[in-house]
Amino acid sequence: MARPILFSRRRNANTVRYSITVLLALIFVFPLLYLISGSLMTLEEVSTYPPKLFPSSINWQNYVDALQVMNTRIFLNSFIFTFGILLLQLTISFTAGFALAKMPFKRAAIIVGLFAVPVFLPTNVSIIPLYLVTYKLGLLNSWGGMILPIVGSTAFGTLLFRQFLVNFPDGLVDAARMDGAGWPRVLFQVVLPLARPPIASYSAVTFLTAWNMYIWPLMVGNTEQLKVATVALAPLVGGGLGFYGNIPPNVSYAAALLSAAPVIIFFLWAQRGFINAIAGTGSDS
Amino acid sequence: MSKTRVGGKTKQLKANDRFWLGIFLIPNLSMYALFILFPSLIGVLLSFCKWNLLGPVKWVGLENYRQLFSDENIVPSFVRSLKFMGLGILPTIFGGFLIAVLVNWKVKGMGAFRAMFFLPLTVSSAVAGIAWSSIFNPEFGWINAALSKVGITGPEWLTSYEWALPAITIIVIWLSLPLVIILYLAGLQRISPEILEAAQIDGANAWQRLWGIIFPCVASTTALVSVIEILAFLGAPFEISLLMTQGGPLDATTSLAYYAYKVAFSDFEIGYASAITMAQFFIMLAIALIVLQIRKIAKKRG
Repeated sequence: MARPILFSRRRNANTVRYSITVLLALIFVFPLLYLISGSLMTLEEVSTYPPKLFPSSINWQNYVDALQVMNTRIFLNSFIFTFGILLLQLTISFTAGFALAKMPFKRAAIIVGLFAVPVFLPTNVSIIPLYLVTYKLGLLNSWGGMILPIVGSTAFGTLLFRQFLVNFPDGLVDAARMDGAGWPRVLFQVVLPLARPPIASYSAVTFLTAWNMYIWPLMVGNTEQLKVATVALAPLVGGGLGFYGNIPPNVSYAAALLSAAPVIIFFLWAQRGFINAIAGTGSDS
Repeated sequence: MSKTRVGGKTKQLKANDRFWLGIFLIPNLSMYALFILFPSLIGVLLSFCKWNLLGPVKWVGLENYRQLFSDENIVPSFVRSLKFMGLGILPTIFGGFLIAVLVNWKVKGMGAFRAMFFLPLTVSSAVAGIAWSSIFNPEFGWINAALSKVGITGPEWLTSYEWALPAITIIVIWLSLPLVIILYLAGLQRISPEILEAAQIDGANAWQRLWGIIFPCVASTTALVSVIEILAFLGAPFEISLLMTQGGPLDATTSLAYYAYKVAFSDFEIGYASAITMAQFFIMLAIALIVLQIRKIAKKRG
């Protein structure tokens, strides 16, 4: 007798739990859902009270207008910025992580310790002197100034790769060395093919971070040639002042979605690796 | 590894090893030194100097630090930083924990809803700014529309002196939650099912299990999350304020980080701005150390 009752109580609790979760999730993403819906409305529809949930008809024109702001040049710039950082930083972080893990030398521990410094230095503390260094190097308003100072924050990648490679079987490396393979061959032909998981994790995190970076590209690359998506989008925010410059809100919603599209698509595609990367970094420290 | 080599070959290989060690390490270390370590050092040194970017750098000793105490903008900016932290940190930690527990559940369709909670991670501050400025719009926005349903006339939010800071805090919470949820999910995976089963047999109800058993089991995650969120709420509201309110209205959303940015890039007082960021750094360090200390004491007692 008791069992079925318990079971149905359990089932009720589960239904409640499921409903709460779904409701919370929908509220949580509501600002983004409304961004999609609003980006398809007319100007009248986004400025009515009470606000409307859905457009009465799909208004694609907003996206055509938004492409004036988010033009191909801006997207190209964002891709150059993001992949410039990703490729350069990946290269120097992976090689250094390899050296620190698999090429034993006396001062390795000191160097590993050095990489822990930025944990205590959040960006907004170091951004003023970083700007000054970039300025003194004559790199303001150039791709070098946009990309290289960010590439310099190698700590995350280097420690991530080192951690992975420390656990990488020594036997494989030693065997290749015995066979007379040089260090570059060990790196490229033995280690690299087996290091896909940490490379994927690192790339996912770096791609998101770089694509969404705002303050740095604003400070060193606010020119037509260098403007990235976040910098182009910023003047459309105007939220506190209640106006949007010359661009109506429905068009700025479309522009915002266009700028976020590459990352959202990428995230939905690579979600699992990405979550593992973040969770992994968290549990290490 | 080079020890495995034999005879006369060792020395030659060692030189070769060192060559490749240099190739692998030096690009990284030089970039890291030039753009991370060196600027940090410069920042410390500049806090003892006066400089307006163009003229000569002048050593002034502790004058910038003395100025911190006479500058009447410092205390209000710091109080606003404390308000950001006070309003934001606890909802982020507890909200993140509760959501993580809710979505840590292997049933059909849950994966999609779990992914929804991660989505803010993918958007830039500018996209978040555009989305939320429409939600907070006093005339046409959803929040005030919802409030009026229950008979409350909503405030002007981002253009109101009292409500701009809480509004920005809500946005930063929203942006911070995904990371907290992910970290708690990772923490929850590590709890052994036996512990939960034992609690069930003991007759603890769901709420008691949640706070009496699950929450203590993820204490190390809570410590990590606390430190991350202290840093986030001391720093992150700066970018959102810069985008949405430009520190206003009437400085209402100018945190200490924002004030340092203004002193550096509007007033061009680089030395003084560096002193402000140094002060902020030490405040942060002190808070982080206190949190870790509290955890140590709590651990000893528990």
